[in-house]
Amino acid sequence: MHEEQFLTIIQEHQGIIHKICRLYRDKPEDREDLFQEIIFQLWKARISFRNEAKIGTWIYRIALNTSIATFRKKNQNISYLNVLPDLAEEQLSDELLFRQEKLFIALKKLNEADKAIITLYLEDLSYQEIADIIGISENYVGVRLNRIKNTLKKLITT
Amino acid sequence: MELDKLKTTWKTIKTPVFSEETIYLNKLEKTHPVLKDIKKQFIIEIIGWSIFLACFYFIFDGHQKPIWLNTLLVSSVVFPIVHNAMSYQISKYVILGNNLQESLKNYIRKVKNYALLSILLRQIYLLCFLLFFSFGLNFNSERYIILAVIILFFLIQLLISIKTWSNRLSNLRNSLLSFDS
Repeated sequence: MHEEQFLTIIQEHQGIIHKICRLYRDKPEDREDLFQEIIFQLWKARISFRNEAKIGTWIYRIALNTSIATFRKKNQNISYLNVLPDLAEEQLSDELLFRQEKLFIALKKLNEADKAIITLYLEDLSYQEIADIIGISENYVGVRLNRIKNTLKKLITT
Repeated sequence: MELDKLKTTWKTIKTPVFSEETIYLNKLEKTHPVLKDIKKQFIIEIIGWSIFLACFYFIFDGHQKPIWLNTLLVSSVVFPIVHNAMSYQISKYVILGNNLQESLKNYIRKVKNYALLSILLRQIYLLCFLLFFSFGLNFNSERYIILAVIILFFLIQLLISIKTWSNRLSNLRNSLLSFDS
């Protein structure tokens, strides 16, 4: 993969990387660091990218792997009310913002593996693709997703 | 919120849009949040140790001490440099498998080995320094107290190192366990 091709691909898929950063880190500066770390790891892993694999699947794998493996800074002041600050080009309705915030609050309460599995589900990946990225069986993905959905239901309705 | 709304809500989330130039800068090793600090520390330490090696022989009476002790001290200076180089490697290579579980397992193994070596190397080089500077001294009660304080300091930093690494490894292991729970 050439540098130009890499930059175009990342620019097209950066949305999911930002969402993963928001899910796995609380402070904006930690999210920025994680974003940079993910881009760096993707750049290094580009050699291992097989053309037969979907580019999205590859990006999810590297991004989630980096988010879970890299060390977090201590003493984070968790602020769940922090809505991504530098976006609002178009005004989102209060109700939608409230729903998004509620979703993130619930997702952040999940463990690392469940966060990864539900992210891939929300991104419309098939059970087989999720299984390949996580390293568990397709059947177990189904079991885990049911469990996660139940947990989320409780978290969101309470 | 109904669960079927989860996907819809997820897809409406707006994210920042970075330019190609920003992404280009983010992929560079010299702007990496951790690697650039390790590199800086590496350079500072190499300069510091070089200065130390250039003058320890006369300033700290190396010429009055046995050759084996001088050799030991000079060799021990390699340890912090090796330690830094390993730290650089650990931070640079995070993706170590074809799926999350495999990669995390390999990464934990790598971090564990690094942690053990890190603790061991630090103790060896501190001991070499202690040996060099205390060699040939006539110990009176005052010097014994100073020695005891230094040993206590060594033990405290050893405990802190062990605790820090245990916490880091425990966090990683918990993440790995969450895939099987």
